[in-house]
Amino acid sequence: MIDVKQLSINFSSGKIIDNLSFFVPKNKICVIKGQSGRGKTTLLKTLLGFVPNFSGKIIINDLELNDKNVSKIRKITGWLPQQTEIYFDTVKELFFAPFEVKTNKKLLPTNEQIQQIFASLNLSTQLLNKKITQISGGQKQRIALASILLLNKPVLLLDEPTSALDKDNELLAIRTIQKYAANSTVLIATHTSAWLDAADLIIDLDK
Amino acid sequence: MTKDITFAGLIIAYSLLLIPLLIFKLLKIKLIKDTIIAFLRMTVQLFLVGIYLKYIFELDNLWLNLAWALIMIGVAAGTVIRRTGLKARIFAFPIFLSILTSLVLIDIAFLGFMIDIKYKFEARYFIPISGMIIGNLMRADVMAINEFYKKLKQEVTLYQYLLANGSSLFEALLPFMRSSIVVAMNPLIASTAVTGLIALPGMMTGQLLGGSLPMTAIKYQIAIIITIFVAQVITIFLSLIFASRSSFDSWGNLKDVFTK
Repeated sequence: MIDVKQLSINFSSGKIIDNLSFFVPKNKICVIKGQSGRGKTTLLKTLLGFVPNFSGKIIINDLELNDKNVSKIRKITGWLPQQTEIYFDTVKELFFAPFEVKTNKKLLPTNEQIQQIFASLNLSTQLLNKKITQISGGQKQRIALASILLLNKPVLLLDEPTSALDKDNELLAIRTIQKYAANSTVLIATHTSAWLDAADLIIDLDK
Repeated sequence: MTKDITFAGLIIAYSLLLIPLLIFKLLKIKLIKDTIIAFLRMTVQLFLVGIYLKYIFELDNLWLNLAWALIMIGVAAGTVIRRTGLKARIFAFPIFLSILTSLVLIDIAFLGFMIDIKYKFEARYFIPISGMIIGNLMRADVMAINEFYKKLKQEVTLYQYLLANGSSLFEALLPFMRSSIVVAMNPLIASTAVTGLIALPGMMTGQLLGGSLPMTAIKYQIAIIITIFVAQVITIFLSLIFASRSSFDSWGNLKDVFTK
Protein backbone atom coordinates (compact mmCIF):
# COMPACT_ATOMS: atom_id res chain seq x y z
CA MET A 1 0.00 0.00 0.00
CA ILE A 2 0.97 3.60 -0.48
CA ASP A 3 -0.09 6.21 2.05
CA VAL A 4 0.70 9.84 1.27
CA LYS A 5 -0.23 12.50 3.79
CA GLN A 6 -0.10 16.26 3.26
CA LEU A 7 2.72 16.03 0.78
CA SER A 8 4.24 19.26 -0.49
CA ILE A 9 7.24 19.49 -2.77
CA ASN A 10 9.03 22.79 -3.26
CA PHE A 11 11.70 23.57 -5.80
CA SER A 12 13.47 26.90 -6.11
CA SER A 13 11.27 27.46 -9.19
CA GLY A 14 8.10 27.09 -7.13
CA LYS A 15 5.72 24.63 -5.50
CA ILE A 16 5.34 21.44 -7.55
CA ILE A 17 2.96 19.52 -5.31
CA ASP A 18 0.83 21.27 -2.67
CA ASN A 19 -0.65 19.43 0.30
CA LEU A 20 -1.49 16.20 -1.54
CA SER A 21 -2.93 13.24 0.38
CA PHE A 22 -4.03 9.87 -0.99
CA PHE A 23 -4.12 6.22 -0.04
CA VAL A 24 -3.68 3.30 -2.44
CA PRO A 25 -4.71 -0.01 -0.82
CA LYS A 26 -2.63 -3.15 -1.36
CA ASN A 27 -2.80 -4.66 -4.87
CA LYS A 28 -4.82 -1.80 -6.36
CA ILE A 29 -4.03 0.28 -9.42
CA CYS A 30 -3.93 4.03 -8.96
CA VAL A 31 -3.63 6.40 -11.89
CA ILE A 32 -2.14 9.85 -11.44
CA LYS A 33 -3.36 12.02 -14.26
CA GLY A 34 -2.47 15.54 -15.16
CA GLN A 35 -1.04 17.67 -17.91
CA SER A 36 2.72 17.91 -18.49
CA GLY A 37 4.50 19.85 -15.79
CA ARG A 38 1.96 19.06 -13.07
CA GLY A 39 4.48 17.03 -11.08
CA LYS A 40 3.56 13.41 -11.95
CA THR A 41 7.17 12.34 -12.50
CA THR A 42 8.33 14.36 -9.49
CA LEU A 43 5.72 12.62 -7.34
CA LEU A 44 6.94 9.14 -8.38
CA LYS A 45 10.57 10.18 -7.82
CA THR A 46 9.66 11.54 -4.41
CA LEU A 47 8.10 8.21 -3.42
CA LEU A 48 11.42 6.58 -4.34
CA GLY A 49 13.47 9.01 -2.23
CA PHE A 50 15.02 10.91 -5.12
CA VAL A 51 13.47 14.22 -4.02
CA PRO A 52 14.25 14.22 -0.29
CA ASN A 53 13.29 17.85 0.43
CA PHE A 54 9.54 17.17 0.70
CA SER A 55 7.24 17.89 3.60
CA GLY A 56 4.52 15.53 4.77
CA LYS A 57 4.50 11.80 5.33
CA ILE A 58 4.93 8.92 2.89
CA ILE A 59 4.39 5.30 3.94
CA ILE A 60 5.01 2.44 1.53
CA ASN A 61 4.11 -1.07 2.70
CA ASP A 62 4.36 -0.04 6.36
CA LEU A 63 7.74 1.62 5.87
CA GLU A 64 7.91 5.36 6.37
CA LEU A 65 10.00 7.02 3.69
CA ASN A 66 13.10 8.49 5.31
CA ASP A 67 16.85 8.13 4.82
CA LYS A 68 16.93 5.08 7.11
CA ASN A 69 14.24 3.15 5.22
CA VAL A 70 14.83 4.35 1.68
CA SER A 71 17.05 1.44 0.63
CA LYS A 72 14.52 -1.07 2.08
CA ILE A 73 11.76 0.64 0.11
CA ARG A 74 13.82 0.52 -3.09
CA LYS A 75 14.15 -3.24 -2.63
CA ILE A 76 10.37 -3.69 -2.82
CA THR A 77 9.73 -1.27 -5.69
CA GLY A 78 9.88 -1.55 -9.43
CA TRP A 79 10.21 1.76 -11.28
CA LEU A 80 9.79 2.37 -14.97
CA PRO A 81 10.96 5.88 -15.81
CA GLN A 82 10.33 7.53 -19.16
CA GLN A 83 12.88 6.70 -21.87
CA THR A 84 14.85 4.06 -19.98
CA GLU A 85 16.18 2.72 -23.26
CA ILE A 86 18.47 5.65 -24.06
CA TYR A 87 21.09 4.29 -21.68
CA PHE A 88 21.48 0.90 -23.34
CA ASP A 89 23.10 -0.22 -26.60
CA THR A 90 21.24 -3.48 -27.09
CA VAL A 91 17.71 -4.71 -26.43
CA LYS A 92 19.14 -7.55 -24.35
CA GLU A 93 20.92 -5.06 -22.06
CA LEU A 94 17.73 -3.05 -21.65
CA PHE A 95 15.65 -6.12 -20.82
CA PHE A 96 18.09 -7.87 -18.49
CA ALA A 97 19.60 -4.81 -16.68
CA PRO A 98 17.28 -5.05 -13.62
CA PHE A 99 18.04 -8.78 -13.25
CA GLU A 100 21.81 -8.22 -13.05
CA VAL A 101 21.31 -6.68 -9.64
CA LYS A 102 22.16 -9.07 -6.79
CA THR A 103 18.73 -8.73 -5.10
CA ASN A 104 16.95 -9.62 -8.36
CA LYS A 105 19.22 -12.42 -9.65
CA LYS A 106 16.85 -15.10 -8.36
CA LEU A 107 14.03 -13.46 -10.30
CA LEU A 108 15.73 -14.01 -13.67
CA PRO A 109 12.87 -15.09 -15.95
CA THR A 110 12.88 -18.37 -17.86
CA ASN A 111 12.63 -18.39 -21.65
CA GLU A 112 9.02 -19.46 -21.31
CA GLN A 113 8.18 -16.53 -19.03
CA ILE A 114 9.86 -14.15 -21.46
CA GLN A 115 7.94 -15.61 -24.40
CA GLN A 116 4.63 -15.33 -22.52
CA ILE A 117 5.02 -11.70 -21.52
CA PHE A 118 6.36 -10.74 -24.96
CA ALA A 119 3.35 -12.42 -26.60
CA SER A 120 1.05 -10.64 -24.19
CA LEU A 121 2.58 -7.31 -25.26
CA ASN A 122 2.51 -8.20 -28.97
CA LEU A 123 6.32 -8.42 -29.14
CA SER A 124 8.60 -10.97 -30.79
CA THR A 125 11.44 -12.42 -28.71
CA GLN A 126 13.62 -11.99 -31.82
CA LEU A 127 13.84 -8.34 -30.81
CA LEU A 128 16.19 -9.38 -28.01
CA ASN A 129 18.93 -9.90 -30.60
CA LYS A 130 18.70 -6.39 -31.96
CA LYS A 131 20.39 -3.11 -31.17
CA ILE A 132 18.31 -0.43 -29.46
CA THR A 133 18.55 1.77 -32.55
CA GLN A 134 16.99 -0.96 -34.70
CA ILE A 135 13.62 -1.06 -32.91
CA SER A 136 10.76 1.44 -32.60
CA GLY A 137 9.98 3.66 -29.63
CA GLY A 138 6.86 1.64 -28.83
CA GLN A 139 8.81 -1.63 -28.85
CA LYS A 140 11.46 -0.18 -26.52
CA GLN A 141 8.77 0.98 -24.14
CA ARG A 142 7.05 -2.42 -24.03
CA ILE A 143 10.36 -4.28 -23.53
CA ALA A 144 11.29 -2.06 -20.59
CA LEU A 145 7.78 -2.58 -19.20
CA ALA A 146 8.04 -6.38 -19.57
CA SER A 147 11.31 -6.35 -17.66
CA ILE A 148 9.87 -4.35 -14.74
CA LEU A 149 6.70 -6.49 -14.58
CA LEU A 150 8.76 -9.70 -14.38
CA LEU A 151 10.56 -8.32 -11.34
CA ASN A 152 7.32 -9.08 -9.53
CA LYS A 153 7.82 -6.33 -6.93
CA PRO A 154 5.11 -5.55 -4.34
CA VAL A 155 5.01 -1.88 -5.41
CA LEU A 156 5.23 -0.68 -9.02
CA LEU A 157 5.70 2.92 -10.09
CA LEU A 158 5.23 3.36 -13.85
CA ASP A 159 5.88 6.70 -15.50
CA GLU A 160 3.94 7.11 -18.76
CA PRO A 161 4.31 3.38 -19.59
CA THR A 162 2.19 3.55 -22.75
CA SER A 163 2.94 7.03 -24.10
CA ALA A 164 4.61 5.72 -27.29
CA LEU A 165 1.94 3.09 -28.09
CA ASP A 166 -0.98 3.09 -30.51
CA LYS A 167 -4.49 2.37 -29.20
CA ASP A 168 -4.38 -1.42 -29.75
CA ASN A 169 -0.98 -1.93 -28.17
CA GLU A 170 -1.88 0.42 -25.34
CA LEU A 171 -4.88 -1.77 -24.52
CA LEU A 172 -2.68 -4.88 -24.59
CA ALA A 173 -0.17 -3.17 -22.28
CA ILE A 174 -2.93 -2.22 -19.85
CA ARG A 175 -4.23 -5.83 -19.77
CA THR A 176 -0.69 -7.16 -19.31
CA ILE A 177 -0.08 -4.82 -16.38
CA GLN A 178 -3.40 -5.85 -14.82
CA LYS A 179 -2.46 -9.52 -15.19
CA TYR A 180 1.18 -9.41 -14.12
CA ALA A 181 0.76 -6.80 -11.38
CA ALA A 182 -2.32 -8.44 -9.81
CA ASN A 183 -0.30 -8.89 -6.61
CA SER A 184 1.30 -5.47 -6.64
CA THR A 185 0.25 -2.00 -5.65
CA VAL A 186 0.61 0.04 -8.82
CA LEU A 187 0.96 3.77 -9.30
CA ILE A 188 0.79 4.94 -12.91
CA ALA A 189 1.57 8.48 -14.06
CA THR A 190 -0.14 9.19 -17.36
CA HIS A 191 -1.78 11.89 -19.39
CA THR A 192 -3.77 9.51 -21.62
CA SER A 193 -7.40 8.68 -20.88
CA ALA A 194 -7.10 4.99 -21.85
CA TRP A 195 -5.99 4.15 -18.32
CA LEU A 196 -9.02 5.61 -16.58
CA ASP A 197 -11.20 2.49 -16.97
CA ALA A 198 -8.45 0.21 -15.65
CA ALA A 199 -7.80 2.24 -12.52
CA ASP A 200 -9.16 1.43 -9.06
CA LEU A 201 -8.32 4.96 -8.02
CA ILE A 202 -7.61 8.19 -9.90
CA ILE A 203 -5.66 11.19 -8.62
CA ASP A 204 -6.06 14.26 -10.77
CA LEU A 205 -3.19 16.71 -10.34
CA ASP A 206 -4.94 19.25 -12.58
CA LYS A 207 -7.54 19.88 -9.89
CA MET B 1 78.22 10.47 -18.41
CA THR B 2 75.70 12.36 -20.56
CA LYS B 3 77.01 15.32 -22.58
CA ASP B 4 75.82 18.48 -20.91
CA ILE B 5 73.64 20.97 -22.76
CA THR B 6 75.41 24.32 -22.88
CA PHE B 7 73.77 27.63 -22.11
CA ALA B 8 73.84 28.39 -25.84
CA GLY B 9 72.14 25.05 -26.52
CA LEU B 10 69.32 25.95 -24.14
CA ILE B 11 68.94 29.34 -25.82
CA ILE B 12 68.51 27.52 -29.15
CA ALA B 13 65.87 25.25 -27.54
CA TYR B 14 63.94 28.28 -26.26
CA SER B 15 64.23 30.04 -29.61
CA LEU B 16 62.48 27.06 -31.23
CA LEU B 17 59.40 28.14 -29.28
CA LEU B 18 59.20 31.19 -31.53
CA ILE B 19 57.87 28.92 -34.31
CA PRO B 20 54.69 27.78 -32.51
CA LEU B 21 54.25 31.28 -31.05
CA LEU B 22 54.43 32.73 -34.56
CA ILE B 23 51.87 30.21 -35.81
CA PHE B 24 49.57 31.10 -32.89
CA LYS B 25 49.92 34.77 -33.76
CA LEU B 26 49.31 34.23 -37.47
CA LEU B 27 46.19 32.14 -36.83
CA LYS B 28 45.09 34.43 -33.98
CA ILE B 29 45.03 31.51 -31.54
CA LYS B 30 44.72 32.71 -27.96
CA LEU B 31 47.47 30.49 -26.58
CA ILE B 32 50.44 32.84 -26.68
CA LYS B 33 50.16 34.12 -23.11
CA ASP B 34 49.42 30.65 -21.71
CA THR B 35 52.37 29.14 -23.62
CA ILE B 36 54.83 31.76 -22.38
CA ILE B 37 53.60 31.43 -18.78
CA ALA B 38 53.69 27.60 -18.97
CA PHE B 39 57.27 27.51 -20.27
CA LEU B 40 58.46 30.12 -17.78
CA ARG B 41 56.88 28.13 -14.94
CA MET B 42 58.37 24.90 -16.26
CA THR B 43 61.85 26.45 -16.39
CA VAL B 44 61.73 27.90 -12.88
CA GLN B 45 60.18 24.75 -11.40
CA LEU B 46 62.68 22.40 -13.03
CA PHE B 47 65.69 24.45 -11.98
CA LEU B 48 64.35 24.63 -8.41
CA VAL B 49 63.71 20.89 -8.43
CA GLY B 50 67.19 20.35 -9.90
CA ILE B 51 68.74 22.28 -7.03
CA TYR B 52 66.51 20.53 -4.50
CA LEU B 53 67.15 17.05 -5.92
CA LYS B 54 70.90 17.67 -5.83
CA TYR B 55 70.70 18.15 -2.05
CA ILE B 56 68.15 15.36 -1.56
CA PHE B 57 70.37 12.92 -3.46
CA GLU B 58 73.41 13.99 -1.47
CA LEU B 59 71.67 13.80 1.90
CA ASP B 60 69.66 10.66 0.98
CA ASN B 61 67.76 10.79 4.26
CA LEU B 62 64.81 8.38 4.68
CA TRP B 63 62.48 10.94 6.31
CA LEU B 64 63.35 13.63 3.80
CA ASN B 65 62.68 11.20 0.93
CA LEU B 66 59.34 10.16 2.40
CA ALA B 67 58.38 13.79 3.04
CA TRP B 68 59.22 14.61 -0.60
CA ALA B 69 57.02 11.73 -1.81
CA LEU B 70 54.15 12.94 0.41
CA ILE B 71 54.52 16.46 -1.00
CA MET B 72 54.37 15.03 -4.54
CA ILE B 73 51.18 13.12 -3.64
CA GLY B 74 49.68 16.25 -2.07
CA VAL B 75 50.44 18.34 -5.14
CA ALA B 76 49.01 15.58 -7.39
CA ALA B 77 45.81 15.33 -5.31
CA GLY B 78 45.48 19.12 -5.41
CA THR B 79 45.95 19.12 -9.18
CA VAL B 80 43.30 16.41 -9.63
CA ILE B 81 40.85 18.43 -7.49
CA ARG B 82 41.59 21.66 -9.38
CA ARG B 83 41.36 20.13 -12.84
CA THR B 84 38.16 18.21 -12.13
CA GLY B 85 36.49 21.21 -10.46
CA LEU B 86 35.42 19.06 -7.52
CA LYS B 87 34.99 20.37 -3.99
CA ALA B 88 38.25 19.97 -2.07
CA ARG B 89 36.35 19.62 1.23
CA ILE B 90 34.75 16.37 0.00
CA PHE B 91 37.43 14.95 -2.29
CA ALA B 92 40.90 16.01 -1.07
CA PHE B 93 41.31 13.18 1.41
CA PRO B 94 39.83 10.33 -0.74
CA ILE B 95 42.01 11.27 -3.71
CA PHE B 96 45.14 11.73 -1.58
CA LEU B 97 44.49 8.34 0.02
CA SER B 98 43.96 6.57 -3.31
CA ILE B 99 47.21 7.96 -4.79
CA LEU B 100 49.10 7.13 -1.58
CA THR B 101 47.79 3.53 -1.47
CA SER B 102 48.55 2.96 -5.12
CA LEU B 103 52.07 4.42 -4.81
CA VAL B 104 52.89 2.35 -1.72
CA LEU B 105 51.84 -0.86 -3.50
CA ILE B 106 53.73 -0.03 -6.67
CA ASP B 107 56.87 1.17 -4.88
CA ILE B 108 56.93 -2.03 -2.81
CA ALA B 109 56.77 -4.08 -6.02
CA PHE B 110 59.18 -1.94 -8.05
CA LEU B 111 61.81 -0.93 -5.53
CA GLY B 112 61.33 -3.89 -3.22
CA PHE B 113 61.37 -6.73 -5.70
CA MET B 114 61.82 -5.72 -9.33
CA ILE B 115 65.15 -3.93 -9.15
CA ASP B 116 68.08 -5.11 -7.13
CA ILE B 117 68.99 -2.26 -4.79
CA LYS B 118 70.13 -2.71 -1.22
CA TYR B 119 68.61 0.45 0.26
CA LYS B 120 65.02 0.55 -0.96
CA PHE B 121 64.49 4.25 -0.29
CA GLU B 122 67.64 5.37 -2.09
CA ALA B 123 66.77 8.85 -3.29
CA ARG B 124 67.98 8.47 -6.88
CA TYR B 125 65.59 5.54 -7.42
CA PHE B 126 62.75 6.22 -4.98
CA ILE B 127 62.11 9.84 -5.91
CA PRO B 128 62.21 9.80 -9.74
CA ILE B 129 60.30 6.52 -9.99
CA SER B 130 57.64 7.66 -7.53
CA GLY B 131 57.45 11.00 -9.32
CA MET B 132 57.02 9.38 -12.72
CA ILE B 133 54.28 7.10 -11.45
CA ILE B 134 52.44 9.94 -9.67
CA GLY B 135 52.69 12.19 -12.74
CA ASN B 136 51.21 9.53 -14.99
CA LEU B 137 48.44 8.34 -12.71
CA MET B 138 47.36 11.93 -12.07
CA ARG B 139 46.39 12.45 -15.72
CA ALA B 140 44.40 9.22 -15.84
CA ASP B 141 42.73 10.00 -12.51
CA VAL B 142 41.59 13.42 -13.77
CA MET B 143 40.08 11.81 -16.90
CA ALA B 144 38.36 9.05 -14.94
CA ILE B 145 36.88 11.29 -12.26
CA ASN B 146 35.73 13.85 -14.82
CA GLU B 147 33.99 11.20 -16.89
CA PHE B 148 32.46 9.51 -13.83
CA TYR B 149 30.80 12.61 -12.37
CA LYS B 150 29.94 14.15 -15.74
CA LYS B 151 28.16 10.98 -16.82
CA LEU B 152 26.52 10.51 -13.44
CA LYS B 153 25.03 13.99 -13.70
CA GLN B 154 23.95 13.53 -17.33
CA GLU B 155 22.53 10.04 -16.86
CA VAL B 156 21.17 10.38 -13.36
CA THR B 157 17.98 8.56 -14.44
CA LEU B 158 19.98 5.41 -15.22
CA TYR B 159 21.56 5.57 -11.76
CA GLN B 160 18.14 6.09 -10.17
CA TYR B 161 16.58 3.37 -12.37
CA LEU B 162 19.05 0.78 -11.07
CA LEU B 163 18.74 2.00 -7.49
CA ALA B 164 14.91 2.08 -7.53
CA ASN B 165 14.82 -1.45 -8.92
CA GLY B 166 16.80 -2.94 -6.06
CA SER B 167 20.49 -2.39 -6.76
CA SER B 168 23.01 -1.39 -4.12
CA LEU B 169 24.85 1.93 -4.41
CA PHE B 170 27.89 0.11 -5.80
CA GLU B 171 25.82 -1.78 -8.39
CA ALA B 172 24.10 1.42 -9.50
CA LEU B 173 27.50 3.09 -9.94
CA LEU B 174 29.04 0.23 -11.91
CA PRO B 175 28.04 1.45 -15.42
CA PHE B 176 29.60 4.82 -14.61
CA MET B 177 32.77 3.24 -13.19
CA ARG B 178 33.09 1.06 -16.28
CA SER B 179 32.84 3.93 -18.72
CA SER B 180 35.18 6.18 -16.74
CA ILE B 181 37.85 3.47 -16.55
CA VAL B 182 37.52 2.84 -20.30
CA VAL B 183 37.92 6.55 -21.09
CA ALA B 184 40.89 6.96 -18.74
CA MET B 185 42.76 3.78 -19.69
CA ASN B 186 42.27 3.80 -23.46
CA PRO B 187 45.10 6.28 -24.17
CA LEU B 188 47.70 4.22 -22.27
CA ILE B 189 46.53 0.94 -23.83
CA ALA B 190 46.76 2.52 -27.29
CA SER B 191 50.19 4.03 -26.67
CA THR B 192 51.49 0.80 -25.06
CA ALA B 193 50.49 -1.13 -28.18
CA VAL B 194 52.74 1.03 -30.37
CA THR B 195 55.60 1.60 -27.92
CA GLY B 196 58.90 1.37 -29.76
CA LEU B 197 57.25 1.53 -33.18
CA ILE B 198 56.36 5.19 -33.28
CA ALA B 199 58.59 6.69 -30.65
CA LEU B 200 61.00 5.69 -27.96
CA PRO B 201 59.54 6.49 -24.55
CA GLY B 202 61.02 9.43 -22.63
CA MET B 203 62.47 7.41 -19.79
CA MET B 204 64.23 4.99 -22.12
CA THR B 205 65.63 7.80 -24.23
CA GLY B 206 66.88 9.45 -21.05
CA GLN B 207 68.60 6.29 -19.93
CA LEU B 208 70.23 5.74 -23.33
CA LEU B 209 71.48 9.33 -23.35
CA GLY B 210 72.73 8.75 -19.81
CA GLY B 211 74.88 5.86 -21.01
CA SER B 212 72.76 2.83 -20.02
CA LEU B 213 72.93 -0.32 -22.11
CA PRO B 214 69.96 -0.60 -24.54
CA MET B 215 68.75 -3.83 -22.88
CA THR B 216 68.85 -2.22 -19.42
CA ALA B 217 66.90 0.78 -20.72
CA ILE B 218 64.36 -1.53 -22.37
CA LYS B 219 63.84 -3.61 -19.23
CA TYR B 220 63.37 -0.47 -17.15
CA GLN B 221 60.92 0.85 -19.71
CA ILE B 222 58.89 -2.37 -19.71
CA ALA B 223 58.80 -2.37 -15.91
CA ILE B 224 57.79 1.28 -15.74
CA ILE B 225 55.01 0.98 -18.36
CA ILE B 226 53.55 -2.01 -16.52
CA THR B 227 53.74 -0.29 -13.16
CA ILE B 228 52.24 2.93 -14.52
CA PHE B 229 49.38 0.92 -16.02
CA VAL B 230 48.78 -0.97 -12.79
CA ALA B 231 49.10 2.21 -10.71
CA GLN B 232 46.59 4.02 -12.91
CA VAL B 233 43.97 1.27 -12.64
CA ILE B 234 44.44 0.93 -8.87
CA THR B 235 44.30 4.71 -8.32
CA ILE B 236 41.24 5.20 -10.50
CA PHE B 237 39.43 2.30 -8.86
CA LEU B 238 40.28 3.49 -5.34
CA SER B 239 39.54 7.14 -6.18
CA LEU B 240 36.09 6.23 -7.45
CA ILE B 241 35.37 3.98 -4.48
CA PHE B 242 36.73 6.39 -1.84
CA ALA B 243 35.23 9.46 -3.52
CA SER B 244 31.82 7.91 -4.02
CA ARG B 245 31.60 7.14 -0.29
CA SER B 246 31.41 10.86 0.36
CA SER B 247 29.63 12.00 -2.81
CA PHE B 248 26.13 10.84 -1.92
CA ASP B 249 23.72 11.97 0.78
CA SER B 250 22.01 9.57 3.17
CA TRP B 251 19.26 9.02 0.55
CA GLY B 252 21.79 7.89 -2.05
CA ASN B 253 21.42 11.06 -4.10
CA LEU B 254 24.49 12.72 -5.62
CA LYS B 255 25.58 15.75 -3.61
CA ASP B 256 26.56 19.02 -5.22
CA VAL B 257 30.15 17.92 -5.79
CA PHE B 258 31.40 20.61 -8.16
CA THR B 259 32.69 24.00 -7.08
CA LYS B 260 30.82 25.74 -9.92
